[in-house]
Order: sequence, then C-alpha cells, then structure tokens
Amino acid sequence: MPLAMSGLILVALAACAVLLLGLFRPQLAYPATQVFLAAAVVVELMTGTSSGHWWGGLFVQDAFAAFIKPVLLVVSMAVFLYGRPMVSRWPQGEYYTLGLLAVAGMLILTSAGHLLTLFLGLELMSLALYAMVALDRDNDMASEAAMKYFMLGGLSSGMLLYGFSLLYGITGTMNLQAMALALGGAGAPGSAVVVALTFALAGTAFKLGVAPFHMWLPDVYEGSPAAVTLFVGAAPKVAALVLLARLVGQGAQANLAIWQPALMVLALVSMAVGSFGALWQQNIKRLLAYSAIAHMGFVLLGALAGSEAGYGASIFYMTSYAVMSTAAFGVVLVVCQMAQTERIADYAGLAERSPWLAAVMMLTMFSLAGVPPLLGFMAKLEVIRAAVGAGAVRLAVLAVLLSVVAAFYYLRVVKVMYMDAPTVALGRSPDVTVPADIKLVLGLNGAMILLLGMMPGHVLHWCQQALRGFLLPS
Amino acid sequence: MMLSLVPLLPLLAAIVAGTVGLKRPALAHTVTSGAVGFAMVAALIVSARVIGGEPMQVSWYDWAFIQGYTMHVGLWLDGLSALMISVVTFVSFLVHIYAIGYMKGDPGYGRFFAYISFFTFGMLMLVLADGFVQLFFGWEAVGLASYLLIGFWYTRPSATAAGLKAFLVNRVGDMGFLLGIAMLFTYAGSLRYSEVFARAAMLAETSVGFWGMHGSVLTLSCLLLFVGAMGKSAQLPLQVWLPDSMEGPTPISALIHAATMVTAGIFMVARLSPLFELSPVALTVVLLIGTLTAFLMGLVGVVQTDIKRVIAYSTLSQLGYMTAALGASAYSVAIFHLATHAFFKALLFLAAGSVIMAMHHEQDMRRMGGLRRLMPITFWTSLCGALALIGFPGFSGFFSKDAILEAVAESHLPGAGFAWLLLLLSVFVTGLYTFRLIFMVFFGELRQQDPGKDHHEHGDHGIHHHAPSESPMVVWLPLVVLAIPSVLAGFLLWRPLGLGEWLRGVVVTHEGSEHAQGAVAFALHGLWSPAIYLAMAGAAAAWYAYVANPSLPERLRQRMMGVWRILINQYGFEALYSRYATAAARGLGLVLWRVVDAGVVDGLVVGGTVGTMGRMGRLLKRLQSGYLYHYAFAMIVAVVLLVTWLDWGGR
Repeated sequence: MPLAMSGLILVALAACAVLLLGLFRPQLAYPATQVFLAAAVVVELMTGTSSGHWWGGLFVQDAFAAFIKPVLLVVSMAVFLYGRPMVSRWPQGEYYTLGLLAVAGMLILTSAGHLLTLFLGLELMSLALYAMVALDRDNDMASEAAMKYFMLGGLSSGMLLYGFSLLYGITGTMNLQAMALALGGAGAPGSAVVVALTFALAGTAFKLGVAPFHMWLPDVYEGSPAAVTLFVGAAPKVAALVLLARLVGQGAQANLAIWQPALMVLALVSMAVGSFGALWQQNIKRLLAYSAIAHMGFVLLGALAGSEAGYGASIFYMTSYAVMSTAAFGVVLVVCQMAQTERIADYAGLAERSPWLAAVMMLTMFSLAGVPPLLGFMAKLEVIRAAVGAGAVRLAVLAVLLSVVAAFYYLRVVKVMYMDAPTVALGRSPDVTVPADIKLVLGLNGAMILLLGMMPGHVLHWCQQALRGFLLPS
Repeated sequence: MMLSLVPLLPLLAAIVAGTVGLKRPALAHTVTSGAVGFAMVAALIVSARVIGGEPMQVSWYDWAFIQGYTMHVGLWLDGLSALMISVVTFVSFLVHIYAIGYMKGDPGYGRFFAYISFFTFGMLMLVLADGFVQLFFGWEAVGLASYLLIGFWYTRPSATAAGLKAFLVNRVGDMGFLLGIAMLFTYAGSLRYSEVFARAAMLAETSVGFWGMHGSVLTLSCLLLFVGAMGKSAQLPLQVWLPDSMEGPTPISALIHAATMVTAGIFMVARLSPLFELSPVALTVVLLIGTLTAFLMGLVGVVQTDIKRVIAYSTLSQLGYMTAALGASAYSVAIFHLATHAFFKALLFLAAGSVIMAMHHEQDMRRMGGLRRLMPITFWTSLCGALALIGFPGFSGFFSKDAILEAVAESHLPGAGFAWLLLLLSVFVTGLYTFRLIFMVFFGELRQQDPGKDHHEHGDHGIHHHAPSESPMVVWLPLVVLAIPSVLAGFLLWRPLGLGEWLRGVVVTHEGSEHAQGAVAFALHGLWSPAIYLAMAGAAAAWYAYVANPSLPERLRQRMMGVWRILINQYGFEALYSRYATAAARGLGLVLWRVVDAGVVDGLVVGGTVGTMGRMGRLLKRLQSGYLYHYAFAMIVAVVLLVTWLDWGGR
C-alpha cells in the first residue's frame, strides 16, 4: 500500500473514532477531530513527497496532491474552530463525523487519477455535505436548503456520470492519462466528445457553483446554519477545482478547443451573476454566496488557459479565496452568536462594539474586492495575467470591470460597520465573550490576508511548483 | 539583520503609537523614542562596519513580477547611505526627546509620535533603497508624513492650507521624478541603481526627440529627476511650500523641514552622481538653480520677522548651497554640507522652539529681545548654531561652506564664475540675517508682550504671563547635544567628506590638488579667503542695525519700500502661482466637474450604468425564485445550450 495514503487513512479512521466518541463522550468530539486533522497535516507533509501511481491510477500522488491536501486539511481545521460555539448546541459527533467524511472524500478526489475514484471522492464529500446542511433538524430553512441541495446535487451527479460514461465509451479507459492520450489521438473531435465533455463540465460547474449552475448556492448558503455554510464554502470549493483540473486539465487536455470556449462563457456569466446578483442582498450569507459565484468565475479565468501556469494561478486564487472566505464566515459566525442576526444592516456599529472583528471583516472585504496590497488583489492579478496570456484579453477587461461592480457591495459592508449607527440587534445584545482561540485565529487569518498580499512570492511559487509536470508533455 | 532593524524599529513603533498609543501618551513616547534610539545605535554600528569597507546588502523579498521584471525590496548600505542613516536617526532621536517636552499636553500627542516615527521609517527606506522603486516609495512616504505633520493642528485653517500646499507643490516635483524614473526604466530596462549606472554611457549616447527637439536620454532624465529634487529640496521655483510648512509644530520644522526630508533631493542627486556626471547640461542647470536659490532666498530671510520663517529661508538658502555643490560635481562636499547643516539647523530650530515656548507661543521677533540673560542655555547653543551657519572659522559650517565655494571656483561649467560670485555675496547675506535674528531675540530689552494675544491652541505649558525662563531639561538637553556636532562636525568630517574619503567609489569624486589638505591647513587657508570677512561684515552690519542703531532698519524700509515689497512677496512667486497657475487649474477643474463629471460621467455613464446594474440585479433576484423545478430547468437549459453552441461552433 502506498505510503502517501497514510493521511487519507488517518482521516477515515478519525471519522469512525469521532462517530463513536460522539455517542459516548460528545464533548471530546471536537478536540479529537482537531488532533486527528493536525496529525493528518503532519503525515501529509511527511509522506506527501513520495509520488507515484497505484492500481491503474486509482490512487495518484503527485506534487499537485502534495500541495492541495495540506491546504484542505488546514482550511478544515480553521472551519471547525470557527464553527465550534454554534456546533456545541447540536449533536456534535454527527457534525464532526460528517465533516471528516467530507474531508476524506476530498482527499480521495485529490489523489484520483481515474474516473472511478474521482466520482467516488466527490460523492463521499457531497453526501456528507447534504447531511450537514440538514443537521439542525428544527430549522425549516435548513431542511428546505438541504432538500434543494440534495435534489440538484443528484441531478448534477447524474450529468457528471453521464459525461463519464460517454468518455469511457469513446476512449475505452477510465484512467485519466490513458484517456488524455486517447482523446488527443482521435483526430477531429466528434460530437460525442463535445457532449461528453459538456455534461462532465456541467457537473463540475455545479460543484464549483459556477453560473448558470449556481442556483442552489444562494439558497443553500442562506438556509444552512452559519457553521455549515462556512464548511460548504471553503474546502469543498478547493476540491471542486481539483475535479476540474484532474478531469479537464489532465484528462481532456488535448481538447482545449472544446472546453476553452465553454469555460470562457461560464467564467463571464459567473462573474456577471455574482457581481450583479449581490447588489440588493440584505443577508450577509446570501451576499457571500453571490460573492462566491463571482469568485468562481475568476478561478475559471486561470483554468481556461489550460496551461500549468494557468492552473497555478487558479490554485493560488482558490487558496486565497479559501483564506478570505474562512475569515469572512468566521466573523459572520461570531456576529451570529453575538446578536442572532445575519442582516447586513445589523452590522452597523460593529466597529465600535468590537473593533477587532470589524477590522478583520474590513480587511477581508477589501481583499475580496481586490484592493491592493491585499491577498485578493494579487490573486486577481495572477488569474487575469493567465487569461491575458491565453489570449482572452476582452474577457480579462470585462473581469476587471465586473470586479468594480462587486467592489460596491463589499464596500457597503465596510460602510455599514464603520459609519452607521448601531441598530437594536447589536445595541441590546448581551456580551457574548468570544473564545480567545477563535479571536486569535481570526486575527491570524486577517494578518494572512494582509501579509500574503504584500509578500505573495512564496505561496505563488509553491502553487506554480505544485503544477510542474501536471500536464502531459504535448 | 541589524541593518533591517534600523528602518523596521521606527515602523513598529509608529504602528504601536498609532494604535494603542493614541490614548496613552507615556506609552507612545516611550515606545517611539526607545525604538528610534535603538535604531540609532544599530545604524551607528552598521555604519562603522561599512564606512571605508565593503557595501552591505540585505534582501527582503520580491514584491512583484511584471513582464519578467522582478521588483525587489531590499536594503543597500554604502558610505553614502551609512552617513545618511546616522544623521537621520541621530537628529530624529533628539527630536523625539525634545518633543516629549514641546508637545506636552497636546491632544494629538500619541498621533504626533506615530507620525514622526513613521517619517523616520520612510526617510530610512529612502536612503537605504537599492533601486528606484524603493527610492520612490520612501520619497512618497516622507512626503505623506510631511503633509500630515504640517497640518498636524488640523483645526487651524492656515495649517491645513500649508499642508495641502506642500503636498501639491511636491506633486509637481514628483511628476518630473516619476517621468525621469520611467524614462530610465524604458531605456535602461532596469530600476536597480547598479544596473542603470552600468548603462549610463549607453544612455548618454541614445538620443530622443519630441516636438522637434533632440537631446540625450541621460540629460533629459537627469533634468526630470532634478525636477523631483527641486520639489523635495525646495529649490527655485518650487520653493514656495517650505516657508509655509512652518505652520507645523517646531520639532517637525527641525526634523523634516530642515535636517532630513528636504535634503532628500540633495541625497538623490548625489546617489545618482554617475548619471549626472555624464550630462554637463544637467549639471549647469543644477548649479544655476542652486546658486539662485541660495542668494535670492537668503535676501528674503533678511526682511522676515517671524523667527521660524527666518530660519526657514535660511534653510532654503543653505539647500541652494548644497545644490550648487552638486552642480559643481562636488557631490561629497554637498553631502558634507548636508551633514553639518543637519546638525546646526536642527539646533537653531529647536532653539527657536525653546524661545517660542518661553514666549508663550509668540513667534514675532519684534516682540522678543533680551532673552540672553533669561535663557542662557538656549542663547549659548543658538550662538553656536549661528556661528556654524555663517561659517565662522573652526565651526562646522565654515569647512563645508568654504569647500563648496572652492569647488564652484574650480568648476569649468558655463556660468560657474557668476555662480561663485553670487554664492560669495550670499555669505554676507547669511551673516546679516543670522545675526539679525540673534540680536533681535537675545539682545536689547524684552519688548512688551500683548497680554490679550495668547496662542493656546494646543494646550497649556504651565506658565502664563510670567517672564520667559529657561525651558525644561528634555528641551534644552537636545540643544546641548546638537551644539557639540554643530561646532565639531566640520573638523571631524573634513577628511572623510570634505575630501570624499568615505564616499570614494560611491559618488563620483574629483581629487583637486588644492583640495587635498588637512583640516587645520584648510582652516588657516580659509582665513585668507574673502568669505570669512564677508560673513563677519554681515554680522557686523546686523549689530549696527539692530543693536547700535535700532531705528535704522525701519528708516531703510521706508526709504526702499519697493525693494522691501519685492522681498516680502518672495519676488512674486506666490502671486504668480496663486493668481495664474491655481486659477487656471481651478477653472479647468470647474469645467471638468460641471460638464464632464456632473454631466457626462454622473448623468450618462454612472447614472445610466447604475440604473442598468440595478435592473440586472433585480432581474437576477426574480430568476432566483426558490422553486426547485425552476433551478433544475435552468441547469438543463444551460447544458442544452452549451452542447448546441459548442457542437455547432466546432464545425
């Protein structure tokens, strides 16, 4: 058995252990989860470099996986930390078990060199997420969101699977490398390849939350309890990008002519829907949902180049987005605890009530808007450069213009926090003490947004390094 | 490592003072003065290692990559920057100490210390830059700090106006500076000093032309860069902001507007001496601008009555001397004068601040007098500063100023003879205005104070309507500490700077035969030069007019009303700018605002776009119906459309 599987196995074992702990010692579920995840990070860092292919590509370890897996694990750790106060009111064991299963799914997906494990990992992750959304059973909105998510997720999985089966039918293989060679050698792409790739792309786009396959996203983000929204919005997005990179980047790298225009359209529609859709939102989670849609459009800007540098830019963008999204939802969660509100108008006066939270939120909002010298700016710069490099100059210009529109609603949040007088919600709320560890990590999260924006060199370098040798030499 | 501490400590201190220190005055001044003090020690240690030895380089990180060009952030320490960081941290440290007493009780106490520490950081980054990007960053950072500090008392309209003026005038200079940098980058393909210098000869031979005129790239970019220096170092015709900057607190006038920031232009030209040296045209311009500034601004100083303004005009004039030295290719000598001037001018300003405090924030010299006996420490230290300023033999200013005069005399540039003559005359003028100040403030009798007129904008300094008395120790101690280098620096730095030993290999140095002599020999030789007698004559004239025969100045003023008007109006520069340049800019702004902005942009572009965006937003909201089957339908339609388009598009 490959050594590189150790991290995955550890997380799977952790899921079982936490399930049992949740039954008998629920209060230990959280610390056990964090300890297991931290151990998994260490294991991944130690064993991640032993690359290779096993079982006909069912399990693959390469530089890409070695970079993504620790990112997934660390982001999940931060998410569990921020979610803890809210989760402590639910059956805790279930939340953490489902969370760990989702993480295991993502790890499988990340190391998949084969359509089967790609799908398996994706479904393990998705099923866990559906259940997490429904976890707060007394909450009608959450149940509705879970239902929508599950039904539409099923539809998208069907589309993805249909695309996979066509690809298998055309190429006769499910190994991604073999598939890439077969698709590349087939001469002019037939309609079957177009249909197959489109269906596969549609399924991927759903998982990413790219318009027009985004309809579930605002409802699920708003309906789920904030702790779950936080989880759904961070690591699974990274995993969905991995799916895109493995499937389209590696498996169909020869068919650039088919999927590049499709990705361009998806990117543009997504950025437009995300930027305009958020303009009139009153709920902070719904606003962040549209923001996610817009950001996924930007992620596609890098990926559509189809080059290693392009995917490097996308991965950098996605990692940055995960950092920013975690920070934003971290603040949303604390405010949820403090004032039982998710209305943007109720954030008025946050700067006075809690300058620390407001400062982190402000940094995050500026970064999401792409204001230099913050992380979000550097990330945008990189993907836009990748798009320009791929010849999509007009798309790049539109992307910049749309990010100006998006800046409006991010700045509105800052304005409300700093300029408006406090409303009743925040004014009369009792003093909820924010646990010191959450405060500390939120501060670190904010500092990362600032410092990585000013010194992006190392992370960028790692992202580029992770993609070296990712594509077959053409 | 230790080098990195030099700029980073003041930055950290500024952050601490600007956040948690705002409401805790004791914390703010302890942290900032402590940090700057440590930075000074570190600066002195690393400087000792570098001077006369190998340059030191610290690489921080790569900031950005643009089209294959890496913008690097790092520090570069050689003899020139070592000297600068030593002077900057030393003066800054003393000003921090002084400000503890001077700013006591001010509501913006913490903010003040945050600003001056930030300034120190910016100035250190400027002088430690290893390329143009960082130089520009530091340039703008000190500009920002200067703006914030001139307008520090933002409730005073005159202070905010002065801050704005400094910022705007510097903008004109920065424009030239930025264009110069852009031009060098375009033609040399690099923004690092060493790489640009290596291509200097090539640049001198490349010729550019526009509007039918041709010139070498090097000359043009040097001239553009010098425009930047004119802004920051307040040379004609961009000098108008410096006198107004005296609206800021006095420690700021000493630190920023006399000792450090205004010398950034001088430093920049010296730093870029390998470029300037290849362009005689640029050097001639530098020489003449410097000379004219030295002479004309010195004359204006003679008619001023505000104590700080006199010193401000004196600063302008001395900066003119340094610029003239640069023009005569005596870069090392310019830096020499920069260093000595930093000490004695900071001393004079802080002494003036001490006087102003004692006089309950009275700045008009006509209301002062006789303070010699009441404030002995301030008087004696001021006298040291004044003697250094006029170039009395043995004092620091004597060495640096005489070296400048000699360098200009040896220069072969066109106009060098004229420059030498004017600079020599300026020596007389310097003696006159300097001792006019000393005699008016410290001699004679204390003239009446108007009890109704009391400037207490920023708090209470303890004594009201009492006779002026000596300032507290935190105020006079820096005066004493500064008086020492004001007297001795010339003697001690003569060999390293007057002869350029420390800067060999850093700036272009010339080894004149007459030049290479010891400090004592030079001092003796200086006794035979006309400069010293002119300076004494100036001082004597001041004595005659303000001590022996006090009614003379007023009679002279009546007699020569025309001349006096020209001087007090600064030769009409102010009027020119405010009446024509500003009016034209305002007119243009009005048109742009009313027609272009309000009409076209707001009305059509923004109004129209916002309307469209709003409609799109609402449309999307309607599409997001919440019904599951709508969502599923949208997905299926999207797939169908995509397949159709891609399949047909592929054909």
